[in-house]
Amino acid sequence: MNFEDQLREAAAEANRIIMSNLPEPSECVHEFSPKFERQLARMTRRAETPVRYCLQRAACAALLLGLILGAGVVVSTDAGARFRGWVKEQYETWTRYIFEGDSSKAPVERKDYQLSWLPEGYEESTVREELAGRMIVYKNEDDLPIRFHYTTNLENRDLLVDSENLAETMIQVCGRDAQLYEPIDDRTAPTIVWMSEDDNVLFIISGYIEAEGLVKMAESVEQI
Amino acid sequence: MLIYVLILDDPEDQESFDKMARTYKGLMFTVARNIVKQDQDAEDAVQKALWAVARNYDTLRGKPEPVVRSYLVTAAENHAKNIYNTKKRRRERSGDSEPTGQVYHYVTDNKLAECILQLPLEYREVILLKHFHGYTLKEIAKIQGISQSKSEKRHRDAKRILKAMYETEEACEF
Repeated sequence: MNFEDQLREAAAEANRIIMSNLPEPSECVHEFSPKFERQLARMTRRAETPVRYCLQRAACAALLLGLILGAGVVVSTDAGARFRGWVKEQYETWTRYIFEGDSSKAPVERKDYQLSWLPEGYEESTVREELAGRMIVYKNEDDLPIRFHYTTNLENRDLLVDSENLAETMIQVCGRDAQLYEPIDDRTAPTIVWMSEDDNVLFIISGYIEAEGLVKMAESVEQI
Repeated sequence: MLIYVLILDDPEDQESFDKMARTYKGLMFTVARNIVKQDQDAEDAVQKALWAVARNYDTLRGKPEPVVRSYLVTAAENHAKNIYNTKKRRRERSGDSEPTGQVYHYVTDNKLAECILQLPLEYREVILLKHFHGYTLKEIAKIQGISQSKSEKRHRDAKRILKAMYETEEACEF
């Protein structure tokens, strides 16, 4: 028998010994900290942000239809109450924002933005360019992402928010109204959505950090 | 476009990973705690190990239960050892030996297996991952969070040490 074969046999035997020396998983009882359980839940979550941003109104409507499967009667329509230029439709578990602002104000030249403040340990990971905006993903050493997304072309667009198990709060970002979505079950990333001063740019930031940090990031947005 | 980012993007993977993590987290904690000696550090090690496993979940998909268990134990040991070593460096301790982890009691006629069990953790891991689990050194580099060249060096060193240990035990030609 050559060494590689001997090694393979010995490794299997060593592994058998290691496993036979360990207790059964069912015998290993430890009450993990809430922080650990939160982290574990985050590894298997489906969506890390409740916000689904649709490129086209028709696509958004189709998606919404699929999501609510006929059960989503419009509970209320709240014209312009949340973001200026947006109409809010509240479904049972979804919130749809329909942009009805003055699209003639859309800038001819695209502007780009960046966050000038990030929580400790986060670095830029990926940048996805879009025609009218950009999505920048920052990650920390645990691969937990923070997403900064902005778009300037708002005409004919809707914003869908999976509002089930979300607490919705109106806050201020640099004096502008902003919507803060915080999950009740801790399985979705807190998210903040707001419009630029001229109502032409929509900003979204999602990340597993405290609301205070999200607001600090939102207030650090600066034009490049 | 959906803003939708997943660590595990297949719902079946999400479900099986969740089940696996919940089944073995206690065992992983026990293994890690044997090395780091503190609950919080052991939880951190399990958490880091599970993140690493999630990122490389494709290498575990469909593996039999004993292999999964062994892999998770190895991952927990690896991250516990890293935490242990980081803290050791920070405190500038001197004279401490490598963490030994679990002390194994065994009866075996396989002298080479005995040598593997006596290897320092990082070397034992690379030997088990390569020669028991059958991972390539590139995959092991991903699992251990090191570069491929470091993984190759670690494997070479492990075999060299193993050979020296084994030759001391018993004259044998490889």
